[in-house]
Amino acid sequence: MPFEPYLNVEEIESAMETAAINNPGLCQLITLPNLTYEGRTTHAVRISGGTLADRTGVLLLGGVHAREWGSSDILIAFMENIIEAYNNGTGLSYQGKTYSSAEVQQIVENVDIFIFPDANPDGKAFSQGGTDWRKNRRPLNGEIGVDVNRNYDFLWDANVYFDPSLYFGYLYTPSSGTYHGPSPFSEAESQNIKWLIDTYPNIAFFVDIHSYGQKIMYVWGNDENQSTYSEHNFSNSAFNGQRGVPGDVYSEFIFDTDAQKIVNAANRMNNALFSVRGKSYSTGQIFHQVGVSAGASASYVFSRHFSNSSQRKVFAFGIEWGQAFQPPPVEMTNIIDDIDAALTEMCLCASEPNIFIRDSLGDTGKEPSTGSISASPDIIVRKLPVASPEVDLGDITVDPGSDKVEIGNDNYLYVRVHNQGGMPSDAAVRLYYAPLTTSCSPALWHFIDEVDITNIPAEGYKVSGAVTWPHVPDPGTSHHFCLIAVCGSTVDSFPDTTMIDSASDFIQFMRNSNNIAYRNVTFEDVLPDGWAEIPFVVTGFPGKRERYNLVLDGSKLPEDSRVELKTERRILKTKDTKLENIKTPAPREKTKEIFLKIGKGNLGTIRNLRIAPRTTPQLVIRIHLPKNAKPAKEYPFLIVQQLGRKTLGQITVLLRCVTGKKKPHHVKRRTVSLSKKKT
Amino acid sequence: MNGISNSIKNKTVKSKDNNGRWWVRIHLASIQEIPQLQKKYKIEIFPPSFRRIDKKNVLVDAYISKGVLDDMKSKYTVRILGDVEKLAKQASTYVSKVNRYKKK
Repeated sequence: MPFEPYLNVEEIESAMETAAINNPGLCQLITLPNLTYEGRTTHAVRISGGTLADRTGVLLLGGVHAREWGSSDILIAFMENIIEAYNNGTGLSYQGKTYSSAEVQQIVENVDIFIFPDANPDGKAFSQGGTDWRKNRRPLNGEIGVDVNRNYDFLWDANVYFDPSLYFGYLYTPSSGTYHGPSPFSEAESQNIKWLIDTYPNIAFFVDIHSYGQKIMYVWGNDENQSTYSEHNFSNSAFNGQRGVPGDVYSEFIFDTDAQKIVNAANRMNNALFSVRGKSYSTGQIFHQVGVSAGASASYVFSRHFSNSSQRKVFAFGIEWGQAFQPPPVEMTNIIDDIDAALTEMCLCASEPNIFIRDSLGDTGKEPSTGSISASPDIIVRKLPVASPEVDLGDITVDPGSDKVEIGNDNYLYVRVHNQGGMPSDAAVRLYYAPLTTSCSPALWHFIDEVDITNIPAEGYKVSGAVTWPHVPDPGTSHHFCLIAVCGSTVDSFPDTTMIDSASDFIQFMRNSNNIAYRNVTFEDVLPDGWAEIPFVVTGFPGKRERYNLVLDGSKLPEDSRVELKTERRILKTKDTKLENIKTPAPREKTKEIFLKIGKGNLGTIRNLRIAPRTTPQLVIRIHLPKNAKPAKEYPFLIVQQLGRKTLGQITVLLRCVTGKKKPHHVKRRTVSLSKKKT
Repeated sequence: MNGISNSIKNKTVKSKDNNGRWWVRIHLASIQEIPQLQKKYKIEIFPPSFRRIDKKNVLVDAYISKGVLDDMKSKYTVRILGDVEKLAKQASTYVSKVNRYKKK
């Protein structure tokens, strides 16, 4: 179709209104809340077909810079083409690149496509009048306009965050085309974009479309990417003044698995674009492609889940189309095909399987996860094989619990793998065990076996067949285990555990990868007026010697319960270690071991526990249930290891009060000797 | 500093906006020269237009005030791509003058 003249501002709005009116139920018009300086209301559309409720969102943004007119034309053409193809049951054809009708259906019925084609209409209207213009049109300090794509809250105040050898004077100069404004999100246009991402938390992919330069880019934009040092991050003020210089010590942290995903998606977009007419864009990290950037969209959007772990991880990209801001219409026609093919590929990526194992019952696969990370209901142990796992373990609304592992016998493991994507998927699951530990460092894992699960339905789940855990080895002092499951598929690879070099790496890793889960729940049968004794290890992670907190929470035990913690005396010897509601008995002799009694309410904390890196000191929790403990009831006891305020992991001990004829069993002190292990 | 002579570093070339701007392509010996360009000239560089010729040399497009062209040409290889204001006027003729969606 020959390209007609560039859409004007009024036409862009009319195109969206028309699409929404003509396609009720498929295309919804979204009114952005903030009026522009010249009083314009802007709109976006959401294209969402089929009946699927929980779907991945893709936000396609254009028209941020006034003079880059073609971005809006690209997005309006994309909107019209995909709606038409879906309605007619046909495929899409962009010159040499085609998408089948099945692929179009897969996209529309599995993805929420948000299109915001003209974020800065004031600027565009002014620019289309015949004046070169980039910013919005708000008067400030005697000048006009703010660069909307320097107004995001990501290292906005560049002079504070970046190396002083870099020059950012243009950001602070109101007459400059890249003036960043008086404060982050000072502009209606950037506020509207933020509003979209805040309001639609299913958005997981973001593409900001600009011109020019023939580039497909991905985060980060402030420094080189690296996956080794998690403390090298934009929010760490210790590195203020050091960012933005290639080849130096500081570089920006991104998880290896995330880096793989964005590189893969960018390459797929470029391959699709190449198929249109043989153009190949340069793909790479924003920092390498365009140099350092501050206050820009993609880095802000991706940074949100680091700044606030309750926000979804959004993979962020930028496209710079063409070789001029306003190419002649004939060339723009081809560029529209190029970029629309790339965007279709992006949406296809978003519609593909996303397999995960839940960390807790409430886990929906969102990255980063925010709930418990150590109570996976999807890792199940049975002493005997289950006749029909899909039936017996198929109710995912409940935790079917685990049998206590029988030492020396064969035990049977089952895993429930979920698929958040829009297509069925195969997956492989690797199972490991570790000693009962407050934070399950990969250094402690022992491989059990791998199992394949085929054809996990879209938006569904599947229970694996039995994995035999043969002749379960006696772990020595404890008959309790932590069980770990890791899954991967052809499009959703196994997480790379080799990058965990510190406690904070571990937290980030567990929260940011939905392909890994562990169950640190153990059961202990205990008689009324009887003692339970549970040995466990606390992990000293590699890297610097951290101060950990250990919370011992027996607040849900019966009122007269007694709790003791057996530990090595030297662990508590550091002068800044503090005991809260924990009593230390006066030492009668200089023993290596010490028994601490948890005080009233059975809730105590050891603060600033110093554990040497790569050691796993063993501790023992001893719990006495009173005579009046209710038979058949389960009483939980939690042992939580924290790094600062962040939970590294926890053990949940479920004390099952049992009845029996034999006398209450009193465990002798020091039946379990404590030892230090190198991991 | 990275190929910029002291004589360039210490001078600021005043722009003459009233003469308009050139759209130019500049050949730099290193990407590190860009901050110096930004400090010295009234220039709007388009970072996405960076193209590496080899490990060190890059091309970058920019708008510059017409008044600084001679000074810049004496230090760098600069090619004029067009007159910004004329191009903007010409481009405005590519814009639809009606609302095509209202006709439907």
